[in-house]
Amino acid sequence: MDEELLQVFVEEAEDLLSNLERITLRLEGDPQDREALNELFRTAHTLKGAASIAGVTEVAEVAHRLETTLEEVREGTRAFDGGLADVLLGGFDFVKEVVEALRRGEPTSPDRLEAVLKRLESALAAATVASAPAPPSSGQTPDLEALRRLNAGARQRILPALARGEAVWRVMLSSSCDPEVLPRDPLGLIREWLAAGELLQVQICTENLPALEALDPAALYLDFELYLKGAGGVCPTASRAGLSCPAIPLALEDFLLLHEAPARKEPGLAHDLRRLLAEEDGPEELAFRLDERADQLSDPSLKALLNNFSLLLYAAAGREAAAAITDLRGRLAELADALETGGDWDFDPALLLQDLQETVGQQEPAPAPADAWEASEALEGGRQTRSRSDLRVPSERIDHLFDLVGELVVAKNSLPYLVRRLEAVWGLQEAARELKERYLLLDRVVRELQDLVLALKLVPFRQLFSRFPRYVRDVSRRLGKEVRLIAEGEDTGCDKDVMETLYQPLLHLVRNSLDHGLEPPEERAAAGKERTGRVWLRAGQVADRLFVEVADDGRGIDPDRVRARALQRGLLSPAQAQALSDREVVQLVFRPHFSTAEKVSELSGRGVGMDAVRKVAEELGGQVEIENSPGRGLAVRLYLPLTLATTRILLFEVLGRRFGLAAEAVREAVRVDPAEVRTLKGREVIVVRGEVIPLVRLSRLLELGEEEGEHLRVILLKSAAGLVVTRLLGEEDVVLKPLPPELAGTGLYQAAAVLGDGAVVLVMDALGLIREGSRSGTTGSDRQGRQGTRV
Amino acid sequence: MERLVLTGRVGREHASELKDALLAMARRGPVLVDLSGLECLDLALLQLLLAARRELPVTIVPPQREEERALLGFLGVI
Repeated sequence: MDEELLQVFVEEAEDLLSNLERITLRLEGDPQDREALNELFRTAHTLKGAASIAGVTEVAEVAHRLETTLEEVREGTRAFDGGLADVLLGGFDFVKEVVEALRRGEPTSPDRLEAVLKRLESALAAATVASAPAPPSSGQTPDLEALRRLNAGARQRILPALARGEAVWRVMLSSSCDPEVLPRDPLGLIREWLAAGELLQVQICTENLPALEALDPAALYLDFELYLKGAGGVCPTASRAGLSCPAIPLALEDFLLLHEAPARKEPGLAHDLRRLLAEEDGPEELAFRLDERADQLSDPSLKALLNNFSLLLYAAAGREAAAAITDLRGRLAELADALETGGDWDFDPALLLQDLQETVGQQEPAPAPADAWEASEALEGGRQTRSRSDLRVPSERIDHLFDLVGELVVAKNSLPYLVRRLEAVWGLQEAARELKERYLLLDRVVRELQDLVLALKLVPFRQLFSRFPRYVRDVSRRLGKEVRLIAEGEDTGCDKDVMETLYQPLLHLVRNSLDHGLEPPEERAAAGKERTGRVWLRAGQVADRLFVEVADDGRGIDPDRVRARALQRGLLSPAQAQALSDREVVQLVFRPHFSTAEKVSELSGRGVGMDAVRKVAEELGGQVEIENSPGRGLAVRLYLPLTLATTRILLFEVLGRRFGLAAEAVREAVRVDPAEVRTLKGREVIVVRGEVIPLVRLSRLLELGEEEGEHLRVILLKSAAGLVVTRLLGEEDVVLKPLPPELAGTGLYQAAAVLGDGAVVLVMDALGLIREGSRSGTTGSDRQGRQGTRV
Repeated sequence: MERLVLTGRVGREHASELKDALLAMARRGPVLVDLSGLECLDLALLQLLLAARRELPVTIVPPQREEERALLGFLGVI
């Protein structure tokens, strides 16, 4: 196997597997979701193709089997349900194992293939029994075979309407239908709809019509397959007629056919295609004539291929997509060449389906999704098929680029100091002016570069969150719980490496929610809750911090149980246990090996999770917080620093010492008359535009002395607090460096940074300052009482 | 070729008679079913025509009435 091809395959397969899993779960939630089914089919097909090219036979074989299964679902001969989802997920797990082995450079075991395929077959057989397809009259899936039988004329009537975005419904008036649901006179209805222009096509099925000799003239033998136009969520034509036969909405994708390379070449077809292309027909006429030619073909695969091209032409014509029409004409010419020379085929139905969806999606936005999870899924779905122009770059190169940009920013920042020295020390005013102009240009370019590199390094939380639906599904099934996973803030960007580190802590938290937090359905119902418990994965940004949270609407933590357990384990004395508030007591769950679980399960209860969560958060320079509502749920939130190549900081001075603060955390700076400072519940506050803002006096907090002067300089933070400083020095882009261990534990600082003039400043942690200020009494105490006005 | 002419409204009540006539004529050779004077196509007649055309040498003359000709054309009978 070619090493380079293998590497590409491993990267691509990981993406595809993640999508396959996600779409399977989406389809399991709504088996009627045709779009998801098509996407799943297409993705499985892409996996098969990628594996074949890379020579990973076992993956290609398994993917082929799964793809065939999905085709059966598309055709309506197999139903999609939990059993089939299990089979598919099992198949993907095998592929995942192979891919992981390849990534580690270990040999795969093709010998296992036979066993896996056998297992897959027996699981599929079992799933077939369990998932016997629904009777055609009650399902909402179009009969793809019937659509395939439509000739050129019928397609010419139906496809342009669909391509224009009109709703088209297929209604079967069947002789085998319940007489109650049949119309009084099918021909009367057909006449009526035809006159009203609502009927696009009728196919008469004579399968049940007996020989003339045996025909009972009073009986109904014919089935009518009707294609009706309409709008909205129901077929208005059929419902107006009082028909209770199901009206199935059609989509352009339903007309796309599976084709393989044809078994034999068709003499004269290449010539005919060239002739059709040379004629000055419009795209719809060309599509019709392709279908006409397809009707004459005996090779079903070649016929399907021409029908697929005609479908794409109808779609492109309906959307007036000129570029797509030109592209299709070009590819038809390629097809003619391939037919003539016996060359390779590159007209993959999955790619054609993708083209179709892109063409259809070009001018008509998808309907607004109902919630964030769906929205993100739609977005993900749109992105999941990688554009052909994407480039994969090893993350190490991005990291290197990231570091270099940081160095460049620091080097750039030294120029204003040099300008000042040119002016002040050497008196070179003209040179200083020119250098300043060049600096401004450099500054703009570096900022753009910085944004660009930052965007390369950041990945959306969606990538992390997408790993959980499968886990939640499997675990909740095992526990017999009904669980809905909701993701919010998935577009929030986070450093890829940080995100990787977050996976395990989040897994701990989700596991805890599933195992201990959420109650069994009966218990929830008895407590007046919905049977289905909810688990949220949330991400976002607050001030200069990222946050990621796992929350649930389960039973929460019982503080009394935590107290009892802490007493029992000797972590608290009875007096301490009594003195601690419920909120403080709950924090004990972060102690090593602390668990309130009554029994240790294979999932959790050993008390290692929460401690590990806190440790990871701290290692990343963040904190963890817990919000407990006994009986109503629990939220565990991790705050993390924004890890950027460079960070814009606000520089300020506190009694002669320089400090920085992430500009992102700052709302504004104000000047305050000391007489305006008041004391509220023992805390110093000021009132800014009607908002009461607690103050933190940095000089006191840092034990540097007392601020003096006519006015106080106050930096107002976005998190509604004010920092009293001596003076503001301006803003600067810096590279944040980790703190030495002795400073890391103070909770006051976030990082260190080297300024353009070579000096090192400590960058303060906005949230940490508020917390420390509140704890040490620098926001209000008897010391402030001297100058505060009590309100 | 024998000619079977159907005019006016041909309904279910005529279907049995028609079927017998068609079968008898077909035993003697090709049949021309003349629908030029047909006013309203009935489902029973449609079924008879389709069954007859499938197994007998039957040729159909389209109705002159526009609506009926359009309907039979749309149904793929003519």
